[in-house]
Amino acid sequence: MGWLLRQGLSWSGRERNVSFLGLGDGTFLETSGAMGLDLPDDGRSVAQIDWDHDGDLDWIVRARTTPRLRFLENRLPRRGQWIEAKPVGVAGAIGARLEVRAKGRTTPWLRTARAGEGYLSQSSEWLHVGLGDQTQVELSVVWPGGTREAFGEVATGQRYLLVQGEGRARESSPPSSQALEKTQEPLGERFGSKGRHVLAVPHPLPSLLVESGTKQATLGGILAQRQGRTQKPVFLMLWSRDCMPCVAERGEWASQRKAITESGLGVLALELPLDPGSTDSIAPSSDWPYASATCPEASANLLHALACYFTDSTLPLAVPMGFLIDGKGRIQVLYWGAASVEEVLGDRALFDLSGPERLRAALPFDGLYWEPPSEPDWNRWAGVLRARDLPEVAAEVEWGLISTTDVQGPEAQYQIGQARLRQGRLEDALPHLTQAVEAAPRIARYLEALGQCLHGLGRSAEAQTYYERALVAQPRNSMVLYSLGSLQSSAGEVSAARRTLGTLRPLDPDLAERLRLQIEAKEAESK
Amino acid sequence: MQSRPQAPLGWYLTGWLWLVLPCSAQDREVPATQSAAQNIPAPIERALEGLEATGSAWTAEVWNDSLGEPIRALRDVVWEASKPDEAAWQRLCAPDAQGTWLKGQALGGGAPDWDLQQGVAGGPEGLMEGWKAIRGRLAGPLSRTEWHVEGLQVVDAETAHGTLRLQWICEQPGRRGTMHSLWDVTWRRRGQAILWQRVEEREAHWLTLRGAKPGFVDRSHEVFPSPAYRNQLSPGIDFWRERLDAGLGTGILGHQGLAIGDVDGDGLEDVYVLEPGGLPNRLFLHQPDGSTREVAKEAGLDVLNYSSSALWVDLDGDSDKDLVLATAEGVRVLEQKSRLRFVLAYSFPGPDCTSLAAADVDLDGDVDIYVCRYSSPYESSGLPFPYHDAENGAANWMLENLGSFSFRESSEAWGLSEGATRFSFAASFEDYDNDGDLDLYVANDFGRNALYRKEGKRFREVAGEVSAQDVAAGMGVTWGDWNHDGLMDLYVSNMDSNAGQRVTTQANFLPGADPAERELFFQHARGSATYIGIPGGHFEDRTMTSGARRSLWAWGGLSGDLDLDGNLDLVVPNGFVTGESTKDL
Repeated sequence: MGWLLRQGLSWSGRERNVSFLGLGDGTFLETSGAMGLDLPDDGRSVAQIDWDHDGDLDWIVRARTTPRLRFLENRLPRRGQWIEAKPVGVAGAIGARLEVRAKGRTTPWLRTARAGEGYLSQSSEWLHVGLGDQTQVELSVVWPGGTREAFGEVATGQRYLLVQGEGRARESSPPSSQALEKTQEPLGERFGSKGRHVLAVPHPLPSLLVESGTKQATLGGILAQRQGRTQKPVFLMLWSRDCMPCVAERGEWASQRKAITESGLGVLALELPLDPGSTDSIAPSSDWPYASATCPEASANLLHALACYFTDSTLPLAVPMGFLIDGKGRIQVLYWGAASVEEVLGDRALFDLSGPERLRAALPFDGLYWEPPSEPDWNRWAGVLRARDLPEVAAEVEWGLISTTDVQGPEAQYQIGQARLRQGRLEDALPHLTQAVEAAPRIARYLEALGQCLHGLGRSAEAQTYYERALVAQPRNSMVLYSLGSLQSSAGEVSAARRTLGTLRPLDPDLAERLRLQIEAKEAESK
Repeated sequence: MQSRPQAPLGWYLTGWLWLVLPCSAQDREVPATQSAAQNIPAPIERALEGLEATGSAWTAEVWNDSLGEPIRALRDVVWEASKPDEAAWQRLCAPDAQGTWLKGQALGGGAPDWDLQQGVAGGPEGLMEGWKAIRGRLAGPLSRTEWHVEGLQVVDAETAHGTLRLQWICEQPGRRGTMHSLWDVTWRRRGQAILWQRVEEREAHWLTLRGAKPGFVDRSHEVFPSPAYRNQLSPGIDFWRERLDAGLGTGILGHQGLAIGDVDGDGLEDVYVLEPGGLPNRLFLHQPDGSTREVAKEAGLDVLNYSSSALWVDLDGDSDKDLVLATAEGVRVLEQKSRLRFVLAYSFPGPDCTSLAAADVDLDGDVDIYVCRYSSPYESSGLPFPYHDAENGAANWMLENLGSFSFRESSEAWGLSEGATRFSFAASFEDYDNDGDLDLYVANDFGRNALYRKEGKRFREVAGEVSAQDVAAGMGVTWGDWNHDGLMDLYVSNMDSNAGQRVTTQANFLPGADPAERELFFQHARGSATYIGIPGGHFEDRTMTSGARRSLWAWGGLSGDLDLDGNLDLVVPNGFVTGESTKDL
């Protein structure tokens, strides 16, 4: 049901609130327009109170739309007298019923003291009674339990306290005016620009395949961890050729190359495929000083899923869109729309925060949080992935959710570990993968995963052992060969790396090429 | 569709055409206190978007599409023209046009600035005369008109009947008026034109108020001068959805209420405002000058957890107010230790809490708390089944106060578990049968409501037995003696959905279903319910005749005497979700 709303559609929207004038016989007439109560809000909850003590009911209104809180002062022309009374019982007064009798009327006016009425609402404890042309009335209260107490005759136009056992109404005037303490703390305005979503909990970038020329690369996921201990933080800029704001955003980023390069932030422009029907392709300036790649449809779908998850929407994928990814491969901020260089560079400050400070950065105002979110909502994330037709990724996430006390077999341990690996939760993955390998020490993929995990954690020597054991079980596994080669290369074991490259080359020329570049870079570095 | 035989009177549609027509520019003044959100899209084209009126089976819809034109012409000639143009009027009418109109009768003891008229038989005859007469009902140019065609019936290719529901609003400095009127209309097609052939005005009432600011005036900025109002509460949910991580629980629906109570014991009642996840709840302390000071942080009540409702009640008998708070994680109770210093004293975990209602249910001298719960199909995975009578919601709780801020869930023990796993939005206590103990009405979405009558120490669910079941989309409960007979009556805010009424009354909706079941579906969309208490602890369903049914998608309707005439009135907030797209369901 909610998907329509998440697309920004209206559902019984643009309705005007209504009010009905009672005729006293059980029928009503709609008169909101004249009374000014026909507000166009998505109204939710109203509460009544004679706020200004002038004898009529004012209303406080909550709504979904702006403004979400309203105070409405009653300035209707008056059609009669009034009284207000507050029953004060020995054991509270909720449920006490006020009866107001007048000469010539067979039944009293009835009001009940309540806590909770309407919807999500609690109104004033002062019971308000409109009286038409009556000027003298008699008050009584039926207290909870059923005893009735008379409070005698009173004049209208007053407020009365009706204290249980006193038998007489006490006149009550509202507190007199006093000097106002006008110190208002100025409220921080941290809520930033439209479309900028600072995640409450940084979210691991899942494995994301991108293409550059004939090459493919995987961002995020475990490969991101494999590159070394800490990566460069990256701003991932999604754009497409039919998008004018994207061209403007690229222009701004290109023009500030120096500042961005000095900041240490990497930039990757990821181009989305054009819609088949799109005709207004713009040739962007070729002067793009950062990395660029194209985004295959499946990867675009995954990024769209992330945006939907972070914003709780099902809006179509819109560009420009940006993701700020920290050195641990976690998304820190989603920018729905163009992001300025200044904003993104400023947001790198988030990387240094943790715990309550990090949470505070995602909140526009301070406050008290019981059990604040401490990790991504994996269930909701898996639901979004399924809804976006990405069941495999969803399964990975869900595997990561299985309670370890329920599943002890090596395959389950491996799946859990693998899922956590893909989420970038290396520390969490390690015990599961270790357990899997201990239970089944010759399964290549268990060994490989444990190797990857240790590799990501910077425990290179151990990682190398597991890669080697994996190759014993499965000597032609090109991914393991690649991983091993790059580990050897970064450890400076160039000749070992070259041997691995030789084994890899006939199996997977693309991976081999990638490894060759790494080795050569290492050689150049050591020279 | 194409092969379905056409019913003799065509298709019966309600709520098909919904026009909001703005009037001439000088009358469209927007009060400064209102926001951009009120720019209701007016063009007829919007109302007609999304209709696929092709093919013979959809004759009524083709007709319906065409009706915008004669209605617009009528508006232009009769109200937009500065003076009546009889020749132009004539061209809109069929040659044999007839009309019968109501005449006004003043209602109730009017204050001099108050003119309420109800239409009674005996008004002018003929279309020309009638249109002249109603032009005079609200003196002054109209600022907004709404036209709503219901029950369109196609007689033949040339002729259609329908009910036209109109609302006109006239706003001028020092005066504001509104008229509601229902016409039974026959239209005739002549070539390209559709002419007015017959109008019988069936119901009408109009109210004009005079005075500098006659009516309710939005003074939010004066009452809430705090930046918390401007920066946090003034922006709508959609503003925050564009800025907050959804993981904080902002949600789409904006189901956040408020609680009034004298929190600091100074004799002035304060306002606590609930907020969705990631935005702090706010406490506005009522100052003697009528403004407020925002003190949630000082009080320890700036809760960031998703909150829906709260109640100020004294739970420990120390005469100050403690707070019961419904959050996404369950009910929390905060004790007021000393003036404006609150500490968490108790938690009852469980998601999906909506409204709260409190009373000393067991008469042991302390206040117990009833908790409504709802697993939202819009925001979580709770899918009601069957839609019109779902009992697969979250269980409501009756938290019995055991003293010292401890509670026990006592629904079962007190007889409150019957029918208590529905989709509950609201509840309210009332001794409706005047026997000295409190009964409880619970409004449920997707099905029947519950009325728990207290019988001795236990409750018994009697909604069906006493005819107050109201199988519908219940969202709010308010009690009052609407008709001054000494017995409490009920008003239940429900969904009055154009789309729903339209769909559920079409012949091809649930073809072959039991008429009783179809009726239940219709009831879901029929609008808010009025139940009149009758002797013997029973109710009479007067929804269709009470005049308070057309409340649109209503939430927490509440009663109070707005004009001090001695009769209870109703204020009903409504509207589900107004999205950026103007297309509606």
